[in-house]
Amino acid sequence: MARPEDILSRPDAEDFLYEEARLIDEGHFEEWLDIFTEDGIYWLPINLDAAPNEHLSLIFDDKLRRKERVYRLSQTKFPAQSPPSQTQHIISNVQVWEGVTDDLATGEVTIYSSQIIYEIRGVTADDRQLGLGDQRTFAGRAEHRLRREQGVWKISLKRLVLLNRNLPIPNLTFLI
Amino acid sequence: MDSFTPIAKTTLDTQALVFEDESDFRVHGSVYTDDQIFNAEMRDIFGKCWIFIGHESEVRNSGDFKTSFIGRRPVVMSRDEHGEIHVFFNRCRHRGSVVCREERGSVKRFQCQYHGWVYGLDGTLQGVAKHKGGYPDDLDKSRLGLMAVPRVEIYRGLVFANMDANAITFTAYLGAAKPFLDIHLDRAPDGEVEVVHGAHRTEYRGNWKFQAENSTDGYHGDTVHESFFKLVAEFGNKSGQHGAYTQGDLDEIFAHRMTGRTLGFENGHGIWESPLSPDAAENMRAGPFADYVDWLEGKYGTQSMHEMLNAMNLLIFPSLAVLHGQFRVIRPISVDRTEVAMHFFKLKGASEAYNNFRLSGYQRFFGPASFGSPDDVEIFAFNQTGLQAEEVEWLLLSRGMARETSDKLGVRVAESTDETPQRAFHRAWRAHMGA
Repeated sequence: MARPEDILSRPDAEDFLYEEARLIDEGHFEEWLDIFTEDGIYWLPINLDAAPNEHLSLIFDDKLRRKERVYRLSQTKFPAQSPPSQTQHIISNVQVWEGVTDDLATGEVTIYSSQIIYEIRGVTADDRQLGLGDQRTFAGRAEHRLRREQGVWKISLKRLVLLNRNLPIPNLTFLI
Repeated sequence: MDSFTPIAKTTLDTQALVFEDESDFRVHGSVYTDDQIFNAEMRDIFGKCWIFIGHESEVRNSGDFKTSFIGRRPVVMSRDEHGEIHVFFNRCRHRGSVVCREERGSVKRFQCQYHGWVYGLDGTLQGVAKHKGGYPDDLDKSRLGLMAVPRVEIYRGLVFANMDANAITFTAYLGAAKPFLDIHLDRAPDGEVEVVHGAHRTEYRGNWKFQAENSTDGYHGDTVHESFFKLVAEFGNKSGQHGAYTQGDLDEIFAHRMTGRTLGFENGHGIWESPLSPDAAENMRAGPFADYVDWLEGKYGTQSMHEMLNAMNLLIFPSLAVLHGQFRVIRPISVDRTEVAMHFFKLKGASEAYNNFRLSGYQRFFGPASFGSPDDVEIFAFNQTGLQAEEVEWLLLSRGMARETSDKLGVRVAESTDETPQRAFHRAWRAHMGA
């Protein structure tokens, strides 16, 4: 009987997550869109036990909403990203589990990882207005459900559970 | 022992801080930056006005509670064994510790974690730890319950509290703004709304009044939210409708934004209203929510149906805004620090699909990772930074004064980008401060 790591090894899973982090940290958002499936969901829940229509989420993006998010970040200028965020992802504690269908033959696995995301806006003395110049840390557990489409792994669900999801967060407009 | 003593007055001259004549309206910068003024607001504004505590649907069952604030004062809203809602100070009568530390939950009783005093769901003192010998055997527990906030009124499910025992009723306080709160609730086929659990919380390093003023500000959108309108022009409203805007030309969206109106009410309440574009109702009718539009038209008639689909932001002075399916609660923490909680509500009786669409549209513009409200919050910190130039004394709020009219109820009406609601806010502010 196949084990999850027989179809996606942990080093390959790590490489997948590192590449996603690179796309975000370097601002390649259009390419980031392409690593999701058509029906892929990007979800930052507030309550882990509630359905996304029974509880507010920080982010609940289907394909169109992700496209809107990337359009806004890359094609428009707005106060919450003027100056823009810079991020650095640190990824650890990677585990490869079975997919939701429990059928490895369909090529579906789940990767769990711990992620620490450093974020900063404004890096010069001139940027030290209120609200700028703070280096913020976001820590969370990420769940990536991957599905193999024409030989390429794509994200059917990315669920990122932030530790501070219930606290006031002034600005999460930088894609995370 | 059970006395309730209002905070003493100061001799601060607040009346000169809001200046108005026939063509000029100004607010002094210290109104947003001075600690003494902030402390006076906690007494004269939050200590005298009707403050939103929460919605009944947040404490649905006996034992449910929710913590909240009246200015800085921590309070608990609870539902007791008989279904009654209580609002009392979250302060143990013994040595002052809060008795409830969770934002919400369900309990059988409240126990102070310091020395273990126990209170019932209605606030009555039920038990004093190690009572015998430490206190008289006949200690009058009935006088040592959690102190109730002097006045509580529930209006169509919205729970308001008032520190002032002599305050006018909530309905009188709302005055001519009442029909506009009703519109938000009448959109629900069952006539009531239900808060979706979880809140979007944000915090900013700026004065609480910036968010209060902004909630009915029709002037800032074209600049602060230009990015969002470009996005709507590009993608339309498939992923969530935000007011009246439709896909197409950015200039058309901006032109449409000029067609609304603003209103200012006697007790400081205000409205910004943006009408539905002429084809929006028909577009809705052609889509999956035709049943809802038909229901609205059947119940209220064609003209009122259009009005009820308008985007309409209502600020209930001083710190509750009702807009876009949310109760927005503004919580002052200090003169330059504010927390804002946005509670989305469902329309009871509307289809699940329609409520999901409303939620999706809400989350598109509101919340920390959304495409709208984080930009407002960013500006409030700009404001607070700029106001450190104290020698530039005044903020100017005179826009549209020349075209402002008054109706027979004393409601002031002007165009959609005018500062009519903000002037109403500051007139009420001045009337309350030091009164």
